[in-house]
Amino acid sequence: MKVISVVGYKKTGKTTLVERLVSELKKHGTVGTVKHSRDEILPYGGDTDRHLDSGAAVTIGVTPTRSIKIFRNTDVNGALRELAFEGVDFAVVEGFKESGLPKIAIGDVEAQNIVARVDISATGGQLAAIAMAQPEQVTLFDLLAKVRRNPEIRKAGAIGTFTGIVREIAKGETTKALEFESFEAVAKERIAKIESDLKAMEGIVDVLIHHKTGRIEAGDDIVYIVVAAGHRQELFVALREAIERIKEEVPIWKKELTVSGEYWVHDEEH
Amino acid sequence: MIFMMIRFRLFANFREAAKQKDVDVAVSGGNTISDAIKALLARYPAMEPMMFQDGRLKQYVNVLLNGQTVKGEQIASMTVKDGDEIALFPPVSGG
Repeated sequence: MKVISVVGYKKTGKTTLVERLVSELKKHGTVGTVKHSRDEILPYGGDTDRHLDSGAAVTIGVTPTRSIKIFRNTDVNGALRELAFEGVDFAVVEGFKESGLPKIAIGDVEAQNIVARVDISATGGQLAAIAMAQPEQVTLFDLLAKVRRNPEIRKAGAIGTFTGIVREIAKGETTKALEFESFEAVAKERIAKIESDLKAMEGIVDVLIHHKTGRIEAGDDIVYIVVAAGHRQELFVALREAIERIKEEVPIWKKELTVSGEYWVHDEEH
Repeated sequence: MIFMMIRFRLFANFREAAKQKDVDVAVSGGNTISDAIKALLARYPAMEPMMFQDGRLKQYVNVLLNGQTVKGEQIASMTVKDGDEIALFPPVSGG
C-alpha cells in the first residue's frame, strides 16, 4: 500500500484535489481514503451509537444505500491499519497536518514531510504521479497474502514469520525511536540474494523479506521475514539464517533515539 | 597527469561528518581507490579519524566500487577511472 496525504489551510480545495486524485488513482489499483473530520459522523445517543456505547468493539450501520463501520479510533495510524487490512493499493488521507505521512501541500501551508507543493489547478495525473512515487508500505499481512498466492504453496506444510520490532526498554535506557538509513540499491540487491539463496535450500518453498527505513517508533515493526517450507525443521533453519544474514550483509544502519541522547548503534559495538 | 572525478556515496556517521550524502571529488595524486579516498579526506579532514589509523584504512570501513565489495590489499592496488562511484560505510546494523 502506498500512502499520500493532502494538506492545506481551510477552504483551499483539499477535498477537490482528493476527488481528482482518487478518480485517477483508481485506474492503477484499489483506493481507500481517510478524512479528518471535526464533525460527528453519527449523532451521539442514536440507536446505532447505543450499540457501540453498550460495549461493541465494532458497529456497522447499514442503510438502504450504504454502510458505515464505527470503531473507537481517533488517530490516522489506526485508520491506515484498517485500510491495510482491506488490502487496498493506495491510501489517500485528507488532513492530519501533524502526521509524519508524505504530503501534497496546497499553497504555502507548513508541515513535516512535504513531498510536493501544488495549487488548485493540479491535474489528477500530476497528483497520481506523486502518489505512485511514494514508497510501498508493506505489512506482514501483505507478505503472508503474497506467499499464499505462490502456486508452489501446495508443497508447503508450514509458514513461519519473524518480525523485528523497536525495543523500548533495555539496560535501563528508554528508546523513543530508531532511525534507519539504507544504501537502497545495494540493500535491495543483497536482500534479493538472501531470498534466492534460502529458496534454493532443501524443502524451502518461498522466502519474502521486507525491511523498513526512516524513523520507526518504539514498539513498531522494523523487519518482516516470511518463510514457507515443506516441514518445520527446514523452516526454522531458514528463518534464523535469514535474520542473521540481514544483520550481517545488508547495508542498513540504525541510530538510537533515546530519552538521554542519540547514537549510531554500530558506533557502540565497535 | 591523472585527473578524474570520483563520486563518493557516504552513509550513517560518515555522511554526517561530511554533511553530505554524495560528494564529487577531483582526484589527481594517483589512481588507486586508496588515492581517491585520500583526496576525499583532504577535503573533509573531520572524517579522517573515523576512517584512518596509521596511514591505513580502518578494518571496519566497508568499501564498494561501483556496487562491488572491495577488500584488504585491493583498496591500495585497484585502480579507479573517471566517473566511478565509491561507497564508504561503517559496519551495518539493520534488522
